[in-house]
Amino acid sequence: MNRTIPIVAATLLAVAGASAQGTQRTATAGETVFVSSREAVLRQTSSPSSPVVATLGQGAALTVREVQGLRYLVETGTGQRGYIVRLNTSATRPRTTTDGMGGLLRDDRGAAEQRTSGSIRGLRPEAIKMREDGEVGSATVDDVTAMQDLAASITDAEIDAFNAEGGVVAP
Amino acid sequence: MNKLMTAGLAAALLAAAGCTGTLDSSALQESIRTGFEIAGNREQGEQAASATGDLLGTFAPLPPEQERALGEGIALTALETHGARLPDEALQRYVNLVGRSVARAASRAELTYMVAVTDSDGYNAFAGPGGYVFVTRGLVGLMRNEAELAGVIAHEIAHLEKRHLEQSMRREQFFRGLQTALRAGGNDTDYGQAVGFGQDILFTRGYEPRFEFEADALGAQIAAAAGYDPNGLRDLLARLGQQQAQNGGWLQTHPASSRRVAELNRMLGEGLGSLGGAVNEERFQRATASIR
Repeated sequence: MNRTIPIVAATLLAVAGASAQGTQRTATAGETVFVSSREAVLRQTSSPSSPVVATLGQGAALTVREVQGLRYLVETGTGQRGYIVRLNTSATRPRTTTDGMGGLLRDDRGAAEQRTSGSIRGLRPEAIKMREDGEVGSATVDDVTAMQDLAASITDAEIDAFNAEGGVVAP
Repeated sequence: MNKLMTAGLAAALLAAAGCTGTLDSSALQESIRTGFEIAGNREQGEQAASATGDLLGTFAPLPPEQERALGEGIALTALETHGARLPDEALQRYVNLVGRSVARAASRAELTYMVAVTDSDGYNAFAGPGGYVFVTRGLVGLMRNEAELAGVIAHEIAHLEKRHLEQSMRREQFFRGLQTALRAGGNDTDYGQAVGFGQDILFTRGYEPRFEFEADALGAQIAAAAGYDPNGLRDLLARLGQQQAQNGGWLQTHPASSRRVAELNRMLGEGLGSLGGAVNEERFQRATASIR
């Protein structure tokens, strides 16, 4: 069988894949969308400087009431209305991981708990074996461990303060 | 029946199904299984059906522990061979704060993103499974503000959100007939092969261009949704294009900057660019002064 066939298939698939990953369809009034980012803000008006009505978690269902440029006017299940950036929504409910590492370093966990989290710290046995076999040096192992330790030491409160200082505000 | 013939049969079925417009991957996989069973080779059928699922983007993602293990292996070999982590804790904390701020607009809540500036003059950035993001000292030195740093980190986060490395490895595994490339967590040989394979894609051959364009588009959206000026990556790419003749790294493993700038301009012009967002030139210059 000729080698050409899988190559042709790959090309066809690449084209199909590319079209499937195109721009997301804009929902219309009455449709349900879901918060796709880890969190998203609902604002009083469509201006990015307007007051925040609510901060929504990933997966929250919203009913679209109106489309305004890059934003939707939506209503939550509890009747709150506000504007959300369309980028933060998806037509399907996002998958969330709840096992193992899932949920770590999220808002509902205290800073102290985050700091003591061991979930992202320490190398897996396969990686330790690389050191034992001499494939990487101990300094490199220290570098990866330092990345893990630094990440574990950063709290939500520190990110909030960093964003406030730099004027980094979700639209 | 050898691997190539398996690929051929799957390809023929795919081509036929593809003509209808919508690909029903589960029905297609079932047809492939049935076809091989009739031919008396159930095992090959399972293999072809599984590979078809991978090709259609319906592959089962690596379990979290395997993803972490693969990412650690890639992180270790990357730092060993492409520049160590810079021993500047203030700088490292700063880039991590930018990264974590950007990651709030990303969707994979199970990942904790870890960013490192590496001691390399080249212009490059890459990401390993499990949340590892690396940016070279050279690339940070070329940046002018925090929005550009956020744009690069968001681009790398987008690769991880879309699991581009896993997808690339699985496709290559199928077409090249590799048996074990994605069995991180299996035996030592499998793990070493998987890490090496990932390294080869990240540093030598690069992603398929469509993955890069997708990461550019999604990255700009993530940066904007996080509150950063989404023009950051576009501005940096334009500057990188001017350096193209002199440097390797990113430019060797990514599509031409001019094409990417054009694509980003198109998307930003459709409204994203008007969202505004933080730029923070002064804070960025202060935080990165040690490497300038």
